[in-house]
Amino acid sequence: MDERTILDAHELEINLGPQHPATHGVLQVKLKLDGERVLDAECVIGYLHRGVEKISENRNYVKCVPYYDRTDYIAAVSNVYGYILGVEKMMEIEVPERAQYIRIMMTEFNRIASHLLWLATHALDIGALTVFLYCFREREEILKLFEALFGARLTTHAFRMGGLWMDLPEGFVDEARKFIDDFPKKVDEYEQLLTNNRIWIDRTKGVGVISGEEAVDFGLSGGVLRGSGVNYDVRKQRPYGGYDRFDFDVPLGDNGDTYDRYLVRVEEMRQSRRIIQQVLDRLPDGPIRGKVPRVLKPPVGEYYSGIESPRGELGYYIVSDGSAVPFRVRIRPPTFINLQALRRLVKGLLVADVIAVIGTLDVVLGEIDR
Amino acid sequence: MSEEEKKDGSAGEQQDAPRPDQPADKRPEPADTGVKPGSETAPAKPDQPPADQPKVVAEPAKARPAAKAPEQTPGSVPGAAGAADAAPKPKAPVVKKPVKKVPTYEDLGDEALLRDLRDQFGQAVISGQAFLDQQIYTIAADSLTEVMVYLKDTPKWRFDYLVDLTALDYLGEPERFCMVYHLYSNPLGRLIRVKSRFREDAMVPSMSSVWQTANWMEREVYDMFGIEFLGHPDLKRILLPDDWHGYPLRKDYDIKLQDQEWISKHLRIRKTPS
Repeated sequence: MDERTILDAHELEINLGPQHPATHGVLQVKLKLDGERVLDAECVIGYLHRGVEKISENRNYVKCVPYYDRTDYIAAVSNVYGYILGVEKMMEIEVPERAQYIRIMMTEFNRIASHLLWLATHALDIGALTVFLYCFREREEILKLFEALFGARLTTHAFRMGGLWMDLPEGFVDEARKFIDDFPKKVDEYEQLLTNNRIWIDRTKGVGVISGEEAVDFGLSGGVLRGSGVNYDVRKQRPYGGYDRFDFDVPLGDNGDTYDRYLVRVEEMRQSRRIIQQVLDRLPDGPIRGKVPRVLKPPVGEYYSGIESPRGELGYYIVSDGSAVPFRVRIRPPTFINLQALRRLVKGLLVADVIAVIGTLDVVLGEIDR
Repeated sequence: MSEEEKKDGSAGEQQDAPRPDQPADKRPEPADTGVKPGSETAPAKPDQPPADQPKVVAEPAKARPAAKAPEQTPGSVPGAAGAADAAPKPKAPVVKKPVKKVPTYEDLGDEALLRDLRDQFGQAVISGQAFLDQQIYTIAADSLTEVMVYLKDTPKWRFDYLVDLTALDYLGEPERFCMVYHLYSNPLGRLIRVKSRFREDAMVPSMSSVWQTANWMEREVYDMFGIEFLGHPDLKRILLPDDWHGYPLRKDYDIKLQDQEWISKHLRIRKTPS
């Protein structure tokens, strides 16, 4: 007899989700278990499918934008950014420098906010409640900044074609400075709670290991890929929107496990802060919106606009037939593709580790299902 | 929406002005799109007497005959061309406009990867183009797998990262579907696009044995377009329910269309009489 089997049950199939708090949305994972060990895992997704790509083919280029806010609602700012950059490129719209700077700043704020939410829930899933409270405290500050500039906290509809909706409100720069001045101390606090924490290390080290080569084969991107030591960050590899003007490092992991991915993302928060600091120091004056035609009709053609969203490479493949409505907008969702690796990552682990791995993949179901 | 389109006709005219000059460049490319913008307006414009309207709208009409002047002068229109020359003042902005060139598909010519692919696969490489500096290689359907394996495994190129895989539906064309692959090479830091056209009833070779990531992406394409993949390990719907009928991203699937049978069966919602 196989010594791992408990009782007489060789294989037990259970559903994790879709109503499970640790699956970060309506994700259903069908687990095949042998005792507590995972033999196989199958993801069932699509509960949140709204047909965003189909809707895009029936709206004009501007009216599409709010829908992309609602795909990855945790990182609404970067989601809109990718699409708008693509359309601007096809229309050859020039964006004033000030608008470019502000866009980068807000995208980086969004990255911090998204990573904070990830860290909070990831730690909560594993049992560290304090981190959750700390992270939400800082995230609240960022959401307040969003509200001041965009008028909304979550579905921000952040950028407009050619620039921004409005300039920074009064006092924004001071508030932003205050936040980034305090922020490193806050990150130290999280690290103090987790990085050398015995329980945290036991729960994350060596869990969900994937080699760099395999990660590339799986098409992983973002922190999940860089945790395996692959240096691929769209901001560096194919700079867009003026990222090449700023100094920042791309943190890389060594072992490709959950712990390394944690370290990578925490370091990314510090790097994002560095970028914001540079933006604030060098923020140029000037207009915030370029010249934009009243009706956007990109020429017949196609463009792939890939950006580094907090979760990985987010791509918009826009195909135009010359009319005011896109022929096709394909969204390359980073988490959809990252989630595919879940099966490979959890094989042979314990059920409790599945929760840790789902957390480390940083899934947002709104984006997976679109 | 229809209102929006009507508006486009008038309000967008200024912006579209340079475009009627372009279709000549675009014509070689119609295989890619069903609709040709400006094709209705372009022939109409040269008929207008160019000099009597000093408005901006008339300018592109003048820009056109001016470019073709050598052929036209010997014919019956020297007067019109002369009139255009005689009114130099409104012409000044005309010179400015064509400077902002509308992006078009450009042939890659003797680019290294295209040359290499042509050497290896000959006729299977249908075209190599660039649009806004993004390279597009169109490959014949039956050689797609070989080309992809070559692109991935050749040490010189090593396109080891399949960034994206999707499809386009050109309803009404004989080769209805176009598969689109975005490949990235980590060593080269280069992104390319590979396209291949397939008939509606054709099976598309699955790339899941070349890149594992293709698995779910192909399932999504199957789910949304109904394209079947040959050699896919687990081809079933991924976002829509398994027993859903229809493929939503096909162009003949209306936005309001739903699988009423499925909805009444599972959600117990009956369609309200409209």
